Amino acid sequence: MQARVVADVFSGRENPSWQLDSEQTAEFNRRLAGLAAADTVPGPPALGLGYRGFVVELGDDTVRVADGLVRTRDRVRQDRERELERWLLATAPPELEPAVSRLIAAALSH
Amino acid sequence: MPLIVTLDLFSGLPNPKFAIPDTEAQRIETLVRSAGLADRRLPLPPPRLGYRGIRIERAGVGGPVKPLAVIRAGEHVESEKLLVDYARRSLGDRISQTAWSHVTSTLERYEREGPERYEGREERGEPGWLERIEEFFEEWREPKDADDGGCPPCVAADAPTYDPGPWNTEPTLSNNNCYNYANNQATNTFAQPGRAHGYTLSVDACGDVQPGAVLDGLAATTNFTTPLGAGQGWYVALVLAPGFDYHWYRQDTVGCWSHKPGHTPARNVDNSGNPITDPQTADRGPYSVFCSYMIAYTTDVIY
Repeated sequence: MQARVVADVFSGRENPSWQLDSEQTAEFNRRLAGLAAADTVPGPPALGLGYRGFVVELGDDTVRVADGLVRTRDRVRQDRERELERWLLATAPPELEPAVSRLIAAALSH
Repeated sequence: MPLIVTLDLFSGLPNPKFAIPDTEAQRIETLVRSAGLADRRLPLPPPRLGYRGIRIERAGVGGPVKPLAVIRAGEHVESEKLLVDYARRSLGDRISQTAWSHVTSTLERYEREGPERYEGREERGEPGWLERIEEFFEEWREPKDADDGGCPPCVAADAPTYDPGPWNTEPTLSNNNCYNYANNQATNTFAQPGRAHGYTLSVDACGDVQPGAVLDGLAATTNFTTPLGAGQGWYVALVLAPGFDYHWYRQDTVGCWSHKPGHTPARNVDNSGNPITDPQTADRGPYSVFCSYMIAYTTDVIY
């Protein structure tokens, strides 16, 4: 099964999205499985205007990766250094608009 | 094992539900067990409007959820307040401020009145029960968060009411954007300015977006202070992140503005969490260019 990645960044336009190939999907699952459970109850996901995180669709499952947290249907994991978000950004195809890449990269550098 | 907590609150909307992860679940389970709230067989709470209690279930891994506890409203305020606090942190503004105010004030009232034991109480028609139901009705009819202090006057007779509930419920939540919300039309098409009229949108400049909106029926204007009578529309505002995206706000009857960022819930605060008294001065994140105020009409055709 191949995963689909959605960068949750736009308000008016449809969010950009792309497909991970089989190898990338396996790598995503490997990285996800390696994350520790969050040690506190997190607040709500980031909302508002601008970069809000990535949504990874894996069949019927949806994984939200944002703000150093990785939320699946039944658990929350920590990604303190936001390495999973950086890795997802790196999987974006060259067609991803430079303004979008720059905005996400800037948000991840904070 | 994570816990699934449901606030029994709404009538038409699905009740708010959130998960407490493994790391916190044991503490909550211990609390409700020590309070004698777990694994009881209770009759259903009486049907009434407003906060009715909390249901806690264990999330089965790959299996069905299993009931852990039902706490009827006012029965154990300490546990209820703790769980409502978790709910607020988890759900935030996905649930309207009106609903949070209602739950909080209800629990405070129970706390003031002292310990409450509800088993069989309503069925016996204890004095005061009917009055409490009427209070629930009053709270529901008169949202306490409609605080117009600091909001500018709304002078448009057709202005929509800030009522994010229907917008923040699937499938409306995922299929409608800021343009749908500003026009107060849930087309479920993630509407684009001008698309209903064959216009191809780009986002390099305000002049690329505004003509599409005009084709749909909106009209540009210079302010939001000119009175608009019935049938004369309401004020909206267009902003732009050049080369990136556009965004819309609308002015509600309370006078402050609200918006729906993309697929995310409608909200009445800006990126700094402040009420929006004027989109021109609000924290708009990357949408740095204020384009113009416009007037939207019920007759606009968007897609």
